[in-house]
Amino acid sequence: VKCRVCRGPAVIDIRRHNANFCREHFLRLCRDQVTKAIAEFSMLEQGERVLVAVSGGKDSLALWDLLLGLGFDATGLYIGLGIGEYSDESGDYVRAYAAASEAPLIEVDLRDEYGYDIPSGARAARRAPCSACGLSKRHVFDKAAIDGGFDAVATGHNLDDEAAVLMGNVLHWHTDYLARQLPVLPERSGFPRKVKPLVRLGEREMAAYCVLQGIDYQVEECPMAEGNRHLRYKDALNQIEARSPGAKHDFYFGFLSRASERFREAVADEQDALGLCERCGAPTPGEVCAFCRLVEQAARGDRAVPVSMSPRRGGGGS
Amino acid sequence: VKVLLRNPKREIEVDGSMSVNTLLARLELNRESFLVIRNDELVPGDAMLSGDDRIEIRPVISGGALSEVPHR
Repeated sequence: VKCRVCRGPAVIDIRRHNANFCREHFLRLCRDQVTKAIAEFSMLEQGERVLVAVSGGKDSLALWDLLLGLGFDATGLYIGLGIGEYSDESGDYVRAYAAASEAPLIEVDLRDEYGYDIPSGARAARRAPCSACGLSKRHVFDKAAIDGGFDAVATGHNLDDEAAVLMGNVLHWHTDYLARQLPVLPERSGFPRKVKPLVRLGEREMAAYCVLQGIDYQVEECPMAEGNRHLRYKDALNQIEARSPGAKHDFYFGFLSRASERFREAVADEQDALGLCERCGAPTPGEVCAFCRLVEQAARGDRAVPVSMSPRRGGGGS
Repeated sequence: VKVLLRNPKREIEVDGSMSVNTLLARLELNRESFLVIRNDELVPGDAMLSGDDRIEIRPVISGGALSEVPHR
């Protein structure tokens, strides 16, 4: 098998490009695709300070590496989620990458900063773990970016992520969510700009990028994400992709170019109506934002556990 | 061919020499969802594997807190 560019030995085949690539030209392809996405959607300018949300997984570490390689001023932000060994390991991968790359890293531990972790917070708030996790991450990203004076938050959402989310939003016709599913969300009062520079690259390519760049990352899936609906959507989309290479790309980019605009009008009105959370000052449609409610529920839950658990364990009582 | 699989981590042995794509098909694994690594190096789908090779089949799908709503 030969590289499409140099005819040297190939290390990866990418069926949606109907091409094989050697190490050097595959890495160049990844850099070119990120450069193209950043330019196409006006995500970032050279000289801006970018906060990269890093989890220890392949996508976020690849993103950080790509942005640094392209000359961006990219600081990592790692959130300690408190999901047992999984979180301990993910933190180790992030710190190892930061040390090897001499890249600046900010760490926020949910337990230390806010008094809860994802398992206890999700339980107390009666949310699915992935929901509590997403809510927590969004709040911490926003706060860290604003407090630190960063120009944008970059996340490692790739083409597969975006296609899977799009599939879920279309299946259930979440039109307000469809309106906001964009590769760049501009800065607004209380929200930093958010960018997704990996939207032109698939999940398999990001894993390959890490292997070829020698970036160690956490291969194991989060134990709390098992059965997550997005994993099922990804599986379904990959079944389609296997028979119809390029289908995920056409689905997502066709949505952006032909449909996305049609959903935005209703959201503009809703965004104008946001007030400020009376606890933390973040934008919210209510008096207290969902994150502050989660923190409060978790604090009550922590205090209530010994009391509320004892009757159940004892098999009776009020 | 000795094959390391993940999630959960385990090793299996597959008889005979074959291409990477044939190995994935035999294990009923979608080639869009996995990378194949031989002796720490990536190998493309039509590379031939021999009995001495140690192979890792690494899943590339990750899920977790993907959000429909990045922010309001």
